[in-house]
Amino acid sequence: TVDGRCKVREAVVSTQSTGYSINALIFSWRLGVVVQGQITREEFTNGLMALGCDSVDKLKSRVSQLDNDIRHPTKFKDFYQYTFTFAKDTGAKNLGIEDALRTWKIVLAGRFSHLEDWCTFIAQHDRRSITRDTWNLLLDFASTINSDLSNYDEEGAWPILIDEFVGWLRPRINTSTS
Amino acid sequence: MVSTQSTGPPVVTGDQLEELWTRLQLGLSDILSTGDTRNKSSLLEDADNLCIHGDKQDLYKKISREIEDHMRGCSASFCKLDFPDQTAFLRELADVWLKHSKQTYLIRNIFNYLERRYVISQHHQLLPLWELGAQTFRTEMMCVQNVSGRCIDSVLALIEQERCGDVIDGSLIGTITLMLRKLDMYRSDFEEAFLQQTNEYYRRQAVAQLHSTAVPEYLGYVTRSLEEEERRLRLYLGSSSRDQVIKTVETNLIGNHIEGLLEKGFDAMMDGSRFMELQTLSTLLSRVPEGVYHMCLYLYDYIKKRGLEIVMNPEKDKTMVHDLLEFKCTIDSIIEESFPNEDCVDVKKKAFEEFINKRPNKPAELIAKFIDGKLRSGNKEQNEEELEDMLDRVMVLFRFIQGKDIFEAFYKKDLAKRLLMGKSASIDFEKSMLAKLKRECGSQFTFKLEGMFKDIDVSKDLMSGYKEKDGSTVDLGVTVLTTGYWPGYTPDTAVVIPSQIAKTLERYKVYYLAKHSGRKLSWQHSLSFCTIRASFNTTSEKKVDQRKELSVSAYQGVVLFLFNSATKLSYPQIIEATGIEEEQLQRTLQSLACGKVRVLRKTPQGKDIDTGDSFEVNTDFKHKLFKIKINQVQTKETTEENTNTTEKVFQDRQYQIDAAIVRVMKARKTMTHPVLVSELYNQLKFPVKPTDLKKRIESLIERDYMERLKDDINTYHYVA
Repeated sequence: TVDGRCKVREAVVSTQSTGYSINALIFSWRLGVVVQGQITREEFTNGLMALGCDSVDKLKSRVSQLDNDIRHPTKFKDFYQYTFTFAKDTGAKNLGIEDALRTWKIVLAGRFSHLEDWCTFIAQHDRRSITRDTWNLLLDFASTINSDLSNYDEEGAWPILIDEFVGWLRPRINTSTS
Repeated sequence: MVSTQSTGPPVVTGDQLEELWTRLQLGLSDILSTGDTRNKSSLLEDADNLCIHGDKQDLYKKISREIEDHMRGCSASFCKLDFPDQTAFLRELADVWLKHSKQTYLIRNIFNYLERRYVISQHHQLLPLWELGAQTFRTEMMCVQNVSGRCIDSVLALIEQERCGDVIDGSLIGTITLMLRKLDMYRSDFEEAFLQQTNEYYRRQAVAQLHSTAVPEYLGYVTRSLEEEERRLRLYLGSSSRDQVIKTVETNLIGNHIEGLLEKGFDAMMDGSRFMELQTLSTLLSRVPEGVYHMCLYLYDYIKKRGLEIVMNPEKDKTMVHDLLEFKCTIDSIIEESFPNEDCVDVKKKAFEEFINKRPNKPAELIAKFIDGKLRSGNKEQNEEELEDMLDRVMVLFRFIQGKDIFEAFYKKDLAKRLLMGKSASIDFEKSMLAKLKRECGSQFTFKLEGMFKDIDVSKDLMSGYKEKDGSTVDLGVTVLTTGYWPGYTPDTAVVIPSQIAKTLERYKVYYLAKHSGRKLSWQHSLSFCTIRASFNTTSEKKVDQRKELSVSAYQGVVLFLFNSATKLSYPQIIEATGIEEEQLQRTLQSLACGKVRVLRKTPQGKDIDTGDSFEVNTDFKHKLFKIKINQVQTKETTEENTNTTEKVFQDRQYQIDAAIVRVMKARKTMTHPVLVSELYNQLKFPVKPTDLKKRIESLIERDYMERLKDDINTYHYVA
């Protein structure tokens, strides 16, 4: 119902200040939302059922626990990869830089030691969009590579954009430690 | 001989023995003091007798004592002597020794019987007489009052003097060292000190010489030193120490200073093509361990360094190929003359391959251009033999290049121009060059090029057939190009050809298609040329019409024809009337109105073509020749053409990489990144960087040809 939908939105909004936040994303993910900003009746009903919410109160409490849903690394990976699809324009293959940066800042906060550097790097790079492959691999980069980049292998299968990032970042790290 | 007595067995009394000994003692005394004795034969007899009848052991002892006593006496008087210098000391010592030797020898002869019958059987306890003499000399002469020490010091001092350039008594040294050997003192007392002195001497010399002389002179010094040591050893020191001495010299003069020598002098000698000096260097270095190895390193670095100077400087591009050929020639001669060594030939090849490929693409392009220059008509620089030789040498350079597809693209383009414009100096040269390429790169490389030649031949036949059939008098020549053999040309069907010509072309087309019905022909006017008869009606008083025959490109002809029906035309009008692509048209107009031969007049004047320009026939046109060529435009290359050719090759490479990746992935289905990369390096014939491969892999992932495995980002999977 329309009423119910408003309540949902209310519940989600009430747990954070802005409309675009990690909780909103997690929520959308759990609901299986395909198109950003829109939610179909089916997504809505099925999603709420999957979350075990048949009342607004239950919904409110569930929303506050959304963090749990992404606690496990496998679940987080799934979620992270979903946000690419969610953030991009439905017809497009790749994700525009602006949207990419915005989304990264939310989902990778606290999970990627070089997040700020990465965003600076991307902002000044001449690439205008991010491929799904690069998006996905950034998570692998964030979770497996040491913050001093000591275990990064340029000859490995990393996407070129990440190779370039490492090349850009290395001298910066060295000057700050020397 | 035993004196027989008339009665019974011989009996020799003690007195008689005494007598024998007395006589012998006298004889010995003679020998020992004067070196000889009279009555040798009776002494011999006496010796034999005493030996047979007397106590042999006792006799031996007596002889021994005599020698010993004498020696002591000699030694005492010797040590009292004063010697002005070391040579004198040695001379006296040698003298004493020689005398002693002779005496001992004589004594041994006299007591030969004793030696044979007694001494030898007692060989565990008793020395043979000669050795007895020697030992006595040693103990009573040499080991007394440091005579041996002094002796050795003197010898060493003299050798040092000789090394420093003085003249010494070599035979004296020879005698002394022989004495030492015979006294069994050479090894123990002399050799080590000698070697040590040699070592010290050359160690110091090396430093001093290297410091003060240039490398070539130093090498001369080393050679001379080695020769001198050999001579000394051969003439007076004996060869037992030879190997060690020579090794010491080599180590000190060469072995310890390999880097220093090479660092200081190698490059200069190479630059100056100093064959002899380099040969000396090579010979000397080969005498020490790792000498040749280090030399090869320097050779490699040198070739690379000079090679990069030739190849990396864009300002020297014009002469690059020529410089490279010269450089290769020089290096070849140097190596042949001075480093006749397999390793050096290898090093040369590796170095050339290394530096030529440091500048990607340009050398390949320039070599293609160079060959073009040589194969064109008008090249009168070389006769046939020289040209063949030069092309062979160019092929050697070509062999080193890794991106041969760049060469192919340029060669093809230039060959097309030569064939179509009739610019080849000789078909034989062309075929010869083609054969060289085929030998070098295989028939696949030259397949298309051969196709081009075939087209030319076939077109000639077709043309004569057409002329017979058609019977027209129009002087027409048509070359039919098989697409794929020739470089790609942009079709220019929009160009408006004057109608008479168009009709003729159409007639040929009909003729051709009748023979080959399934095919499609499209005219390539940008490659065509023509001869136009022009008459310039001068507006001056002199009513002489200038008639000329102009050799022009088709485009130029099309533009000129317009002025048959119009006096003045604006640039936009010409664009519309001709249908020629703008950039080409501008170049065409420039060649007609702004160059050396101005058959058209442009208003306003100036080099560039602007929309506001207008053109008319240059009625004042004058030229000393009747037949004038203005079609240089087609034969010259523009920088855009160049970049285009290179770009096409790069594009093509991308396709090849993609195709290789797909092919490999399709076959193996799943591959890790490093395995895929190494397989690609095997398959691709041109140089690629790992980033290039990664770019294509990412592109293929994006286009869903392949994907990464979920749990292993390093492994790819083919998407069917």
